[in-house]
Amino acid sequence: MLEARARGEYLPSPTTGKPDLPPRQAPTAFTFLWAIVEGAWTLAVGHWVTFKNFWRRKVTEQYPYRNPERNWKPRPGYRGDFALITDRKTGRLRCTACMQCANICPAGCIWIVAEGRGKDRHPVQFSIDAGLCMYCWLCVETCPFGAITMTPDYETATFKPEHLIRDIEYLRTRGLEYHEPLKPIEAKAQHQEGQAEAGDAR
Amino acid sequence: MSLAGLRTEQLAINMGPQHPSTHGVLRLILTLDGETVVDCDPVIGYLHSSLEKIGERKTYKQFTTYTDRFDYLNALGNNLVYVQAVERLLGVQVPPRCQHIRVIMAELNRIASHLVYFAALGVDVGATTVFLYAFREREAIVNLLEHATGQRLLYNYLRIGGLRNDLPPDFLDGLREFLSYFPARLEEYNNLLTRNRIFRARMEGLGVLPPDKAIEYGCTGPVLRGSGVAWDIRKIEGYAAYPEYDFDVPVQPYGDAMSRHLVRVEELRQSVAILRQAVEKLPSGPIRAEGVPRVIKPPPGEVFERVESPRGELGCYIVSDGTERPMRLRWRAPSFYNLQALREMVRGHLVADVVAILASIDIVLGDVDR
Amino acid sequence: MSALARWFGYLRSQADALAERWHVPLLVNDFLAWLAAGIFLLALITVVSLAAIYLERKISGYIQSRLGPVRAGPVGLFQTVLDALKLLQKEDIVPAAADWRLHLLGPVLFLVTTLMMFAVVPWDRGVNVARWLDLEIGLLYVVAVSGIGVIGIVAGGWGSNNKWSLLGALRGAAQLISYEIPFLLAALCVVLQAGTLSLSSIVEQQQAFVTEWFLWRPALWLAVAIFIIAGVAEVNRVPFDIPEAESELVAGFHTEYTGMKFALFFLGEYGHLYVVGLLFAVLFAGGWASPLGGSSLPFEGFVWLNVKAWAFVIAAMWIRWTLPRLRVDQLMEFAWKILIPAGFLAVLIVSLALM
Repeated sequence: MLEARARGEYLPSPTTGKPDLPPRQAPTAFTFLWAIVEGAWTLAVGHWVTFKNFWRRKVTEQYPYRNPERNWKPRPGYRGDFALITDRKTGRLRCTACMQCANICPAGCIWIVAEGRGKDRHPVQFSIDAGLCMYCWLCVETCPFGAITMTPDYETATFKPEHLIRDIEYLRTRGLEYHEPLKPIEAKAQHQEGQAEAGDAR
Repeated sequence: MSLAGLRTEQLAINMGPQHPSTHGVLRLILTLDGETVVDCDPVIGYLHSSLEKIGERKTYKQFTTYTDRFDYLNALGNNLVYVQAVERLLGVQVPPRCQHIRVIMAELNRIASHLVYFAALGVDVGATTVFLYAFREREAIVNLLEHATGQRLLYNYLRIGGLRNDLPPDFLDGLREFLSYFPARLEEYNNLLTRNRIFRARMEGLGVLPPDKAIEYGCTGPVLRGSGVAWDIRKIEGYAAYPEYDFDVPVQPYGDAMSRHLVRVEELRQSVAILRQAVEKLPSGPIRAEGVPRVIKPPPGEVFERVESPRGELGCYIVSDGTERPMRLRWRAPSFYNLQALREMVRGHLVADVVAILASIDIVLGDVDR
Repeated sequence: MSALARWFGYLRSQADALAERWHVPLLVNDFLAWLAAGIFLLALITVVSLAAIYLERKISGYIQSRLGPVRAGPVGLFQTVLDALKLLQKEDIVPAAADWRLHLLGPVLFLVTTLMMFAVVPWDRGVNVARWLDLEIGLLYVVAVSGIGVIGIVAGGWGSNNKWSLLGALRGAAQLISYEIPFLLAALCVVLQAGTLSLSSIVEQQQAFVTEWFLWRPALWLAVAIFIIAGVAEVNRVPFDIPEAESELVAGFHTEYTGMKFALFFLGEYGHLYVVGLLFAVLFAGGWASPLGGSSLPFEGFVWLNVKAWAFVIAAMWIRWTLPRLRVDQLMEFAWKILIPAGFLAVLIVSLALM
């Protein structure tokens, strides 16, 4: 049964080899006075820590007005707003309305209305409700054609919830602003090539 | 006037769901006798999102998104336990690079979660500066994870059979840089908070939980290790490349809030040691297992998989009936069991101590309420 | 009729004699002097509080590795002014079941006692707020008035009709009356050293050269330490901020206050901190004396006094953002078991040194 005021040493830390704290002592006159002296020293040490941090570089990022050299954009691969990719060669959307993304979306925020058959199949209505979306990237992963992606754009707040529904024209326009993404499989291959080259260089 | 005839009343006070220091929406009904707590009744359920029921409606692949949201400070750990459970049902072996990256992610998440513990503890005890320092360090980790996974809190990085994508080329350099300055900063924060006489007076002897009571309540993690029981799932189960790493399990004998605090401080150091080894040991190779079908339909059966989250033993129990949706998905949330011990721990303490004890248990309401 | 006239005449002569003794202004220029003194004090406390709040936010930001206010004016200098303007236009909400008289009395009494403490501080050589406020018992007056401020806190807590506020207010009262004793004992050491309770004569004794300051006398070092600790405790600052402990009681005794009443509490709190800083400068650091002794240029003494007082204020802020909070029973234990015996020890040391 553990006693609330148990005395003794703390167990030593495996990393440093000694306990992090001095042992807990029974209250005698000597330990009382020693606690005052040692306590004052620990408080002073704490002040030195804050004093050091007073002079360190501040980590505030004054978004968005200052620090313009940071363009405030995360890297590609960040799960932000959506885009539908237009194929460079054919000039049409890569999307063939196969419904894979709509099926896999856990929140069910993608609606697609399709037209055409075979090679002609294309979406006429492709809406994503960015308000329902959980930003999980499953739709991007599942798409066999690399037609949908998520851009590093996070400043997508609107004043009305209706405006959060991205329709096909919005998505097409966004897709034109961003490069075609690599599918994860291709990214892996590139990374392995890069590693192999680095290995050869070493 | 004799004190025997003096009538006193017990005051029932509500530390309501909106309170600066209940770590989420937790309601505590405290019965006070003056300033001493006689009883404490936690009322939970304010964050309940029926995630376990959602688990019965979503397919296995879709549910990885929801696993982040249980214990949102340990999102990758949640991913890990779920993904490992499904992999065990499917009988899939993931490649070694994937296992090591999972260890890296789990340990980074552990550091981030313990930093949030530091921060919340600082605010509860009154040293607000510690909050800002801990979040400054956490910012570095979160930036690293943002580069690797694409999000800052709810990563959804692990997939059934592997990972979402490989680590970006400069991730390891960023990690090395973080590991180079973090241990010194940790010592600074120890000097600022842990060794501080006022902090010691606040935390020593508080919320004593004897080891037999801790085991009875089902407490795990730093709460159990702070009571003297060396129980760490990473050593016991040896999942995801942990057997290849050399690390110690910190234990402190007194069972009070200071012991739990010291256990977490030491766990931070051990996580740094594991990450240092991982950065050296990381093998190359594929990051997804072969042969994982596109539509995941595990054979009928059940599995209970557990990992060590920063809060304790995190378990995922899945019953599969052969279809693409689980029949039952149960989440063994460590904070729920740790919170049960709160009532035992606060008897006889003052109101200010309730806050400190709650901080030392380190609960996350997403875990408690699911 | 004549009895009544005689009685009125008697009252009038008594009133005249009393007015003579208490320096109550009967002449217009005396009245104007009083008015100027009042305006000076109010302006001073406003400017001081605004500056102190701004400094607190900037210093806490820099310690915490972040910039404080930066947008309102150059380096955020106008931030507190804008905050004050914002508070002025807020609705004054009094809880329905609360006693509105006590609700109003709380901040008013708190602020008024702080203002009263300003009155006896010697601002420059021979300058008190008004000539006749160079009280012979200046130090005793200050400590007595700070005791009255406790009533303001309790009134605020009770008048909020809120259990948490009441808890905070009662803890505040217990804390303040407990820490007045070491405060007074430390000041008593200075009184023993200087031989007088009058603040301006205490400063006069320290003004030759910086080494004359009482700060450097080893016999008084314990008194200095006790004064700093008890002074910080008197102002309800961390590590002694139990009455307004943010994370436990939401905001303690000023939870239910909005708008200008809330601003009055803050004005009072930062004003009190400044007053304790002024007292520190006056008692231990030579008051308005420059380090080279005396003050020759006009306003030089005022500037030096402020430099020393603000040094104390900044040190108090540094302490606030470093240390955790003491629990209420530890706080009382610290006061009664450690500080008060130490205070008596300090008095003993000074007495022995003076023999």
